[in-house]
Amino acid sequence: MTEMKDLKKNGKLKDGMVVLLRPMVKDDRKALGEFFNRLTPSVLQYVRHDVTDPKVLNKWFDQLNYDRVFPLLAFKDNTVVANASLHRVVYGWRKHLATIRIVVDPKFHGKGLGTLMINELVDLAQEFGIEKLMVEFPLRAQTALAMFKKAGFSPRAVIEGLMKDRHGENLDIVIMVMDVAAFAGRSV
Amino acid sequence: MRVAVLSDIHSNIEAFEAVIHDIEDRSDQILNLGDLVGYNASPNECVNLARNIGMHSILGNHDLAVCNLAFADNFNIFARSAILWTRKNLIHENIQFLNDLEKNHRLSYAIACHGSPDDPNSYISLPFQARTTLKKMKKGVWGKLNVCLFGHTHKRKVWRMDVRGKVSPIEIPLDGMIRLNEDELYLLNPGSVGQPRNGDPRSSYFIFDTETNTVSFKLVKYDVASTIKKISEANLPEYLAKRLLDGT
Repeated sequence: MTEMKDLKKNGKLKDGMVVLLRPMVKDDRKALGEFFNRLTPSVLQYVRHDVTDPKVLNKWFDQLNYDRVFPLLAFKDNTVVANASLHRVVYGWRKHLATIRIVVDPKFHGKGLGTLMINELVDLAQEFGIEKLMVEFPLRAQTALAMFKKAGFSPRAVIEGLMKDRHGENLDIVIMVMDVAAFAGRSV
Repeated sequence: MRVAVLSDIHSNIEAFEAVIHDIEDRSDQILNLGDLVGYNASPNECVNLARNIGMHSILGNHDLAVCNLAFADNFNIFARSAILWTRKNLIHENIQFLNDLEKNHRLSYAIACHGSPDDPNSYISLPFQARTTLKKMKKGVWGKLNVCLFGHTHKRKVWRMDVRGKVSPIEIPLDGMIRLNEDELYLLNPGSVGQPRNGDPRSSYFIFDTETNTVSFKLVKYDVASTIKKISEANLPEYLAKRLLDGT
């Protein structure tokens, strides 16, 4: 069978730069660790887990299960520059729904890499039979809001003061949702 | 006339043969709504069978991507991987056969397309998408007709626009038979022969009887294990094999 690491494709960014997209595999442990270690605390504060803790990453790689979490990496010259993932519940009332999480190297912000990764996850969601995608993040992250809107998500709820930032200040959270069938394969 | 309408065969020769056997002499014509190839491991066998039985086929997005790889640039990584494999394995004359397929086919009673009459890549899955196509049919964009046959979603579906212009899906009854009203407009999707996604692993198609104005949906069992074995031997992604077991 074709290995996950062989399921790769190139993507072109706004400035013409080409990046490689492929699913994360066990051999990527070191490269992903280096990616997270390069990120500043201001970026890492919104990541759900303490990804600078080696034990956290070890657990991710030990429990790699593509039916539950489909992780996608973007590489530039063998260096991870973005990590996005599709989180699924394979049974029950949320079976049709998946959530997206994404972290992009700040050096690649504004180049269309986030949109490229989200579009790939939307197309994969369509392939997996997922009907709706959901994402949540701080309302003040206006760049993320614009990026997800561009990908077809729309804001459905704002929960005021739900989270706290690293300085202890309350954060409003926006929840955005998309109908996969409305946007998947737009350019396919 | 009785037309057997098939779609999304996707290189699954076991499913294709089972459906052709099931049709027997129950149709005067067999129409394929596109995507003869892609995903599974028997592209030459499927194209050869389509040619041998004189089935009328229209162009699907996977057929197009095999002919011109640029159209696979935005395919997801699983679909793209199967396109690359198919291009390597499909013989030249079968690629030429796919290349010669037309995007839409206008019949006296209907228009046949892959995704939508506007674009083989676009989906008709949601009410607003169905409404867009039905409104164009009502305006006569593709001539006077009240039926559009489409595929691409791999899901059996019937959409109706009633005389008031209200668009709604029609539930397919257990016996699979739906009678069409001449005053209404319909979008009819037979589901998929080679990679069903209705949660039922059986191949799906329907017979459209233009005289009685009825559509009869059929579900056909096939040898899934053989198809999976071929996918494995071809080194295609494991996910493409697994999904056939539960029709997702």
